[in-house]
Amino acid sequence: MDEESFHAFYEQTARNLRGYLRSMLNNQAIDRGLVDDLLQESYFRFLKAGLPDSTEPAHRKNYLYRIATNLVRDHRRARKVEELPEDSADATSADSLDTAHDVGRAFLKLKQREREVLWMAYVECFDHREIAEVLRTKAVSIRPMLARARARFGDILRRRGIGA
Amino acid sequence: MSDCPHEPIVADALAKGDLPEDLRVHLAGCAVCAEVHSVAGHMLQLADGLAEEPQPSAASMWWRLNLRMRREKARRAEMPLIWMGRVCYVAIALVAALVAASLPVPARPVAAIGLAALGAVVLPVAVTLWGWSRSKT
Repeated sequence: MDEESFHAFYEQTARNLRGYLRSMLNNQAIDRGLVDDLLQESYFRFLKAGLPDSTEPAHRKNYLYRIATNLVRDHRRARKVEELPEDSADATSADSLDTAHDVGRAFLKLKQREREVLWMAYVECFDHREIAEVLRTKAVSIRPMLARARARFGDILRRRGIGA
Repeated sequence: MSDCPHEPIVADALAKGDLPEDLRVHLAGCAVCAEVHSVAGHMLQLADGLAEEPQPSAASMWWRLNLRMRREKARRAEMPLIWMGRVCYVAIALVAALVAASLPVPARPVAAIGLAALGAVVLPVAVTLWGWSRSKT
């Protein structure tokens, strides 16, 4: 991949990918340097893989997300990060001016797999086959997985009085 | 809650910021798609919030990645030389051990054959590794 192609690809993907990495790491006060390190590592491994120039843009993005997902999982395994309990007390005001922040905190209550599926489905608009490729699972299992994750997230948001 | 074939259409329309009237009408009557609309909307809000954090520019990322690749390539090229050196050190240590052992006269031919065999193995390996490292640079 030449520099011009990389710039175009980076501009298209970095914003959301960085958000994905940020939201997959459990601690909201996470070191920004760690997120940027994982972002750089994702693009480094992507370039090293040397996908042919004829590779479709959708496939490139899918491959990049596969790398990022594996990096986050490796990081969590190495740090022995545990899922946050759903009912851990942290106040959310219905009048909060920082709703994106509240949504972020609610998002962290979900399991890792649930967060992955929701992000890929509704931020990146991957179809079920693409999500299955990233998560290395069967495409038929994505629909029920997504429905469960969506229902759980909806419940958490409602309990916190965030949007309807 | 059962599935609805409009689910991906709702998510896609929301991501593009363009929800046509017929889809709005559908949302009013479909609990599944209404849930998709709500959750997807919050996901996009989350993504927008996270995007406010500064991120490395494309130019700086490209520069850093290339630097890493060059360093990794140099390190890979050095490895055969390092291993060649290690093999030679081992061979020298063995020779020194044999000499230091002060072998009795009847054992000298055996020692000579052993040293020749070792040399026959070490020398081609060292030359191959050296040639490989040259081809990688």
